[in-house]
Amino acid sequence: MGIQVQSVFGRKIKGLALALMAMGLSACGQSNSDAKEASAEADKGEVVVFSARKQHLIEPLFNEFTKETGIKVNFITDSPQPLLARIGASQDRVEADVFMAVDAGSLWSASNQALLEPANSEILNSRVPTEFQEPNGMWYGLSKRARTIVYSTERVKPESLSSYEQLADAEWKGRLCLRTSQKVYNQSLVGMLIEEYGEPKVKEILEGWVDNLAAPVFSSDTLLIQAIASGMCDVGIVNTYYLGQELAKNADLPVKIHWANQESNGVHVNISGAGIVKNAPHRDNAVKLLEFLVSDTAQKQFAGSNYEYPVVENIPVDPVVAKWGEFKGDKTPIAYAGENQAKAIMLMDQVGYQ
Amino acid sequence: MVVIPTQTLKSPLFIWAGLCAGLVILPVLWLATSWAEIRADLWQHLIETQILELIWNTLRLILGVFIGVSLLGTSLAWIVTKYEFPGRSFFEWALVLPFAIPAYVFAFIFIGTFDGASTPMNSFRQFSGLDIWPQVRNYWGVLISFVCAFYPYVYLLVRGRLKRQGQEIYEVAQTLGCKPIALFFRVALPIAWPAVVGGAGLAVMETMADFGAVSIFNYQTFTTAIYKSWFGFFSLQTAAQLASMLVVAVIVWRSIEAFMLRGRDATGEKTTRSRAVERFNLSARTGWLITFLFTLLFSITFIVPMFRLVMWVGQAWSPSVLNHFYEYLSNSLILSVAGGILVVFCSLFLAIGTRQDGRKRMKNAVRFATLGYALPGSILAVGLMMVVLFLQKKIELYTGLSLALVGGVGVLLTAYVVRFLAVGYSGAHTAVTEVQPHIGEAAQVLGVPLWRRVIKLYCPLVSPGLFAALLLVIVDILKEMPATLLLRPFGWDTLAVSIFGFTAEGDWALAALPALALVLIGLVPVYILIKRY
Repeated sequence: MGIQVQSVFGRKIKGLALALMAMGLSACGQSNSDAKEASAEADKGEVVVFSARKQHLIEPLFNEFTKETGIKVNFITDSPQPLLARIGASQDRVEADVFMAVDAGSLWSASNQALLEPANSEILNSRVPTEFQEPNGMWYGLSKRARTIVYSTERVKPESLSSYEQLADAEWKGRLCLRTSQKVYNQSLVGMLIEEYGEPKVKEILEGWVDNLAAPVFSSDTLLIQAIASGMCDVGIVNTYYLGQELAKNADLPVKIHWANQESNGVHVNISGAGIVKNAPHRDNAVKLLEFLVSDTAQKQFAGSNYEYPVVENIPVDPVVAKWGEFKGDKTPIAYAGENQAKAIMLMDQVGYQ
Repeated sequence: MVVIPTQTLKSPLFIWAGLCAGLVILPVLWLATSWAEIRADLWQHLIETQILELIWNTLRLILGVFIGVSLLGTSLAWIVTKYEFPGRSFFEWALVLPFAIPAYVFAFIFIGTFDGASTPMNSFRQFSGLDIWPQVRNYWGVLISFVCAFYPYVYLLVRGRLKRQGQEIYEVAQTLGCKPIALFFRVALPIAWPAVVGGAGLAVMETMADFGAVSIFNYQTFTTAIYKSWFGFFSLQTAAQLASMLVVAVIVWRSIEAFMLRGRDATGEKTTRSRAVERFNLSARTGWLITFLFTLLFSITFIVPMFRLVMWVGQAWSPSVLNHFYEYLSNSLILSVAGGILVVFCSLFLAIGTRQDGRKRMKNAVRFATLGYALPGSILAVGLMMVVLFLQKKIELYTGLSLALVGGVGVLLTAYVVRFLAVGYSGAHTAVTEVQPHIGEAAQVLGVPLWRRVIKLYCPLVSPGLFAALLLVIVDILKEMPATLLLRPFGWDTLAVSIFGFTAEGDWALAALPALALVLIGLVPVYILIKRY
């Protein structure tokens, strides 16, 4: 280990020394021929991913991809908008090939800012269900993330639960916990509700939710689940994989899933997904990477490593997830989550949902 | 006496200082250009639904932090320098240790330990049978976290100032009949006042720029509106407009600072060597009471947080948590040391500049150069990125070179300079003011060129002070998160970056290992700092 650390260290120091020299001499450029040489080498096998999906969830698959194809994957992770700003600002010399996000709103905003281009891939078009792809092939879902109701098995009868909107009823006063409205998952959920019910009705629902809050809103779904488990509140709305993570730590957690809106439109399903960056320097490799990610084996791992649902149908899910059973998911195209995001935030602001 | 024309004396310095200041001005200029177009719908929405509340939240937080860190930092520094009590020499350095803990780490430790649904509170309810549900995700929770994270700024600066002042002034006051309490208010406080304001000022600016910690509390400040506009409404432009108002706020804050320091020459510090400060002896009872209170404080601000981190590390331990860990560690080290040296280098030029060139434009250059500290990191990073890309295009156009600046280490290091020049400058400034200006002028008259004057003359004279500034900046860069996130090249993930990956989704147990490592590394410079100064 020591040697390895040292070699990484040494390489970094060298790189840094070069960078500093370059800055000091303000001759920070490479000559044209150097640049060409570098890009020629890169063409053999590189793809650059800007990812809002966390490193430990994507890196194993990228390694797999490299093993299979010989194409090296370089990536950085950050929040989606800073990544898009970096892509947008350098449009005449794009660094990134693939933009990867963990919600439909960010993907929508990427294509809305004209930062993506169609993948034109038969494999992607046919394997990813239509409601989870952009009509022009700008982006594709890679995994599904159901956002539904969770409840305390100690204090809530499952029969008393039915839908998101029902959580606005007075019977839940002082019993509901929510995550902050600043989180895009809630913005997407409310955006999709707006698509289904229209703004006036959604405003009423939101007012009911805020009235029913048992505690100030939380900054993460994980905290919310812990709050239900500890007895601070009885019901909440979370992405199911957070419960999967908590159950993996403690299988006896007294919190269960209720599939919302099964009598109506179905559970709100967001996606994590990706698109090809406009003028991507390694476009072919980028398409190959996305096609790899929707392959059967990759799908199983991509979703399974985080208790999510594969976007491709008929792929087995993690046993923890399988226990939650089948559910009816909302078939409304997920792109509306992005389109209605601003409206959703404004409504939540108006009713004082922080 | 030979009169030397000022102009010839001072120009190269101004150019250098101007260059450093320019680094900061450019992103600020980018903020200004954002006003070219206004999204009226967003502004109307923000004004109608929240802006007043956000401003109020921010103001009361700033006020609370200012009062909190000033009171705590100053009183601790006074007691430690002027009173003898059991464990004093331990507390003297131990009280600085919380400085190594980033505010966003304090935030998640605080909630993960004291909020009603946290594991320790669950156990507490089980053991005690009491039905107690503390609620810390509010103003007081944020305030306490910030005061814990930022009071060491004041403590460090005030303690240094009181120590350097020496014993004589107290003796004079005592012969004039001053009691210890009066000594504090009539002698020590006036001496330490610039340090109090300077340290609390850094805390205030950190508070203004913070998004990481307040978002963990879900406490909404002005930066909430900035990020809501950008991440929620997808309008980077509106975010930049809001951020430019933050710059105005900083300028206002600077005038308030100037007002608080009016009539005082911040440079009028005593520079000749004098006897070390003598300490009052306390009765055993009072002494132990102070020891008890200090122990309590040290537990809350350091022992409990560290203990909680260790618990989380144990809970989430698996061999896979060490993936990349050493790489992150070395990246953090390399970037913080390299960035620190760069920051201190620029700070030195600015400080020498202000020392030798008393003119207004020099003061203005400095004023601008230290604005970056109060800008939210990611806004500053985007501004810098825009500016660099713009310049890169121009340079390429004229020279035919092909540059690839963004995505290189250079831009990231520049971002650190922009962000932390204020910290480096305050240290360098103090160090340089202790050098008599006529030494530099004499060398100049003798025709010694600027770079030699800096290396041969200033560096040896100011190096202890600069070293202190370097250590401070290193700790700050270690803790820096948003600019590193956006501007780092491939393979340059740091500990802070990895903490972000986990805390973003409330995965605090996994964030604990990099956080613990970050704190432990940060302790080294902090320890050296306090032992040597």
